[in-house]
Amino acid sequence: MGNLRNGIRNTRIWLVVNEKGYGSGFLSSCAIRGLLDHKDTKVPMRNIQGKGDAQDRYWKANLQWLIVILGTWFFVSFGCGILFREWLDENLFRVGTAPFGFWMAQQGSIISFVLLLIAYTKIMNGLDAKFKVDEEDSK
Amino acid sequence: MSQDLWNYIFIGTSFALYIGIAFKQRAGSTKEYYVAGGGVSPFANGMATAADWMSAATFISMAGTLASSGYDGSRFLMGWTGGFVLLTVLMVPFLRKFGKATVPDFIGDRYYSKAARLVAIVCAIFICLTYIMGQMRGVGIVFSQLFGIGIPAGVIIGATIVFFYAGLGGMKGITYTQVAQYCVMAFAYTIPAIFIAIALTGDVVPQLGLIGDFTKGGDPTPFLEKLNKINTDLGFSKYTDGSLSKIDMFCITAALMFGTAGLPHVIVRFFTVKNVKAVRRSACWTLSFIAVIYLTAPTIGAFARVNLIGELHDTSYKDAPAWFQDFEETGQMAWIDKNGDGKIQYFGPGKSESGKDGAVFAGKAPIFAEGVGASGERLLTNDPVSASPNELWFGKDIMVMANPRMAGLPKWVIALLMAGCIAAALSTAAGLLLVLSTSISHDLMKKVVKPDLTDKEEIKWARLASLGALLVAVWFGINPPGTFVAKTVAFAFGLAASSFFPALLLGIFSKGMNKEGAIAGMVTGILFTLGYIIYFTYLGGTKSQYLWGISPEGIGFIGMILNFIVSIVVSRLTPAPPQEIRDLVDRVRHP
Repeated sequence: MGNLRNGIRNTRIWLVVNEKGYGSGFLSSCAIRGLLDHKDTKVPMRNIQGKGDAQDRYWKANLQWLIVILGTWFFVSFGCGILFREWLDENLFRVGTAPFGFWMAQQGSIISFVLLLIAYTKIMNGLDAKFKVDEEDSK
Repeated sequence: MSQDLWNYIFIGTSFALYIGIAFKQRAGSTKEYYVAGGGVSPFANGMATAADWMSAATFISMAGTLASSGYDGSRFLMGWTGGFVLLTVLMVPFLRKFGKATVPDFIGDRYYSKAARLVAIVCAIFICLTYIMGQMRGVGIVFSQLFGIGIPAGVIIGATIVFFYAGLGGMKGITYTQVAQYCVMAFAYTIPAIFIAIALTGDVVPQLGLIGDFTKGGDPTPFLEKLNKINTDLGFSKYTDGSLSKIDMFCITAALMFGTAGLPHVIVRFFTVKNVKAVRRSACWTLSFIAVIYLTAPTIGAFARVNLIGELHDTSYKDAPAWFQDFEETGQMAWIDKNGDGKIQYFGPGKSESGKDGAVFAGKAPIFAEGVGASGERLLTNDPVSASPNELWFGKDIMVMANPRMAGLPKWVIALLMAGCIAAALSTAAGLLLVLSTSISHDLMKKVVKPDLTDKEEIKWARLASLGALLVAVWFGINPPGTFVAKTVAFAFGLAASSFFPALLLGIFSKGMNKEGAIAGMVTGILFTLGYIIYFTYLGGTKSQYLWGISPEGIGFIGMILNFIVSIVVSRLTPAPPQEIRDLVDRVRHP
C-alpha cells in the first residue's frame, strides 16, 4: 500500500511538471490533483521514471525558484537602493516623509529580505514535501 | 547613583549570566565543542546566530557611519542583511546536508584534494583574523569608555574575557550564551532609540519617527528634510544623498553581501540545527532578529546627527556638555579652536576652500600633546588644516555610545547600552575565535598534519590556537587597518567574497568544477583582494589610484568576479572531477 501511495504521488508530479512546467505548476497542480485521484494508478510510476529523474526535476524546480527569489533580492537592494535611487527619490511617492529610494535603501530592502526568506522557507519546504525528499527528523 | 555604578551593575550582571551559562553548558566532547551536539532548536539557534552575526561593527560602528555619512551608510545595512538572504538560499541548506563541521572540510572533500583544503584553511584564518581585529577594536572602545582608559588597555581587558569563555565553553556554551547576549543587545539598542524618537519626533516607534516629522521646538517639519537642511547649511552633502560614487557604493554593498555568504563562522552556525527544514526556519528567525536591530540603526544614526550638531555646533567649549570632555579624555573627540573664538564649529567639506576636504587636522587620528589650550581643551600635535573652517573631530565609532548622553537619557539606559555593546563584540569574537581554533585544530592538525590526533589533543590544540589568534587580534585591535570598526570588518567580507563564495557556489551548482579550477580561483581572488587592501591601507596608495574608483572596501567584489573567471577557465582546461564527486554533489543537492 505504501508503494502504491508513492506511485500516485510520483504520477501527479510527473504530469504537473510535464504539462505546466515547474514554476507555474503550483497553482494548477491543485486542479490536476482532482483529476488524478480518479485515474487508474496501478502502474507505479517510480519504476518507470526512476529515482534519478525525480531528482533532476526537483533540482530544476529548486533552481527556478532560486532565480525568482534572487531576482527579487537584486531588485529591492541593488535596483531600488542603489542603481535607480535618485530617480525613485525624485519621481516616486514618499514613504511618510522619506524619499522612496532612500527609504528602500535604509528600511524597505531589509523588510523585503525578511519577507523573501519567509517565502523561500515556505516554498522550499513545500517543494521538499511534494517531491518526498524531506529528511527524517532524526539524523 | 553615579553613572559608573550603573555601568558596573549592568555589565557585572550580564557577565555573570554569560559566564554562568558558558560554565553550565561547557563542552564535554569534540562534537559538542564544534557544533553543540547538533540539537539546538531553530528559534534559539536563530537568536544565537543573530548575536553572532551582529558584531561590534554593527552595534557600535554602523549607526555612527550612518550618522556621519547618511545614505552612504546604507551599504552596511543592505550588504549585511542582503548577504544573509544569499547565504540562506545558496549555501546553508546544501552545506548542512553535506554534514561536515567546517567550510575547509567541504572544500577539501568536494575538491578531493589536500591542497584545496589547505588553501581554504589559510583563507579562513585570514578572514577570521581580519574580522576579529574589528571586534577587538570594538571591545577596546567600550572598555576605554567604561573605565576612562585608552583603547589599547581596553583591548587587552576585552581579549582576556573573550579568551576565557570562548575557550571554556566551545560551541555549546557559546550558543546559549549568545541567546542571552541577543536579548541584551536588542534591548540596549532599541530602548535608547525609543526615548530619543519621542524627544525629537513625538513618535514612539523610531522607524516611524524617521519617516515622520521633526517636532522638537517649533513647527513640525519632515524629519529627513530637516536633516538635509542641517547638513547642507554646514557644508555637508544632503543626508539622503551621501557622497560615494555609484560604482563604489555598488561594489562595497556587493562585497559585503557575497562576503557574508562566504563567512565561515556564520555558515558553521547552521550545522547546529538538526535537519534542512529546521535550518531554513532557523534562518528566517535569524534574519527577523537581525532586522529588529538593522531597522533601528538608521534611526539612531539620523537622531544622533541632529543631536550632535544641535548640542555642539556654535557652542562655546566652556558651555559644552560634560560628555564632550569625557570623549576628549579618551581621545575619541578633539577640537582645535582655529578662529580663536572659544566656540566649537562643525563644518563639512563644502565650506572649505577646495570645497572637498573638511579635515580638521593633518593625519587620520588626533595625537594629543601635554597641556591645555586657552579654553581648557586638550591640545593636539597634529597640524591644523587652515583651508577648512571645521574644528571638530570625532571617531565615528563613538556615536552609538554618545547618543544617549547627547540626548540626556537616564543613566541606566546608558549602562544598558554599554552592556549591549560588550555583548555584541564578545559574541562575535567568541564565535570567530571558535572557527579559527577549529580551522587550526580540526582542519589543519587532524586532517592534514597528524591524522591520529585524539579528541582530547584536538581540543587542546583548539584552545592553544585561540590563544594565538587572540594575541594577533589584540595587536591589530590596537593598530587597526581601517579608520573605524565597520571599515576593518568590511575588509574581512571582501576577503571572504573573493575566496570562499565562488568555491562554495560552484562546488554546489556546477558538477564540472574541479580542484584545479577551485584552487586557482581561490588563490587569485584572495591574493588580488588582499594585495589591493594592503597597498591602499599600509603602502600609501592614494584615492586617485583606485581601480575604476573602487575603494579597498569594495574590491572584494572584483576579486570575486576574477575568482569566478579563473575557476571556470581553468576547470575547462583541466581534467573533469571523478564520478564519485559528481555523485557527492548530487547527494548535497537533495535534502
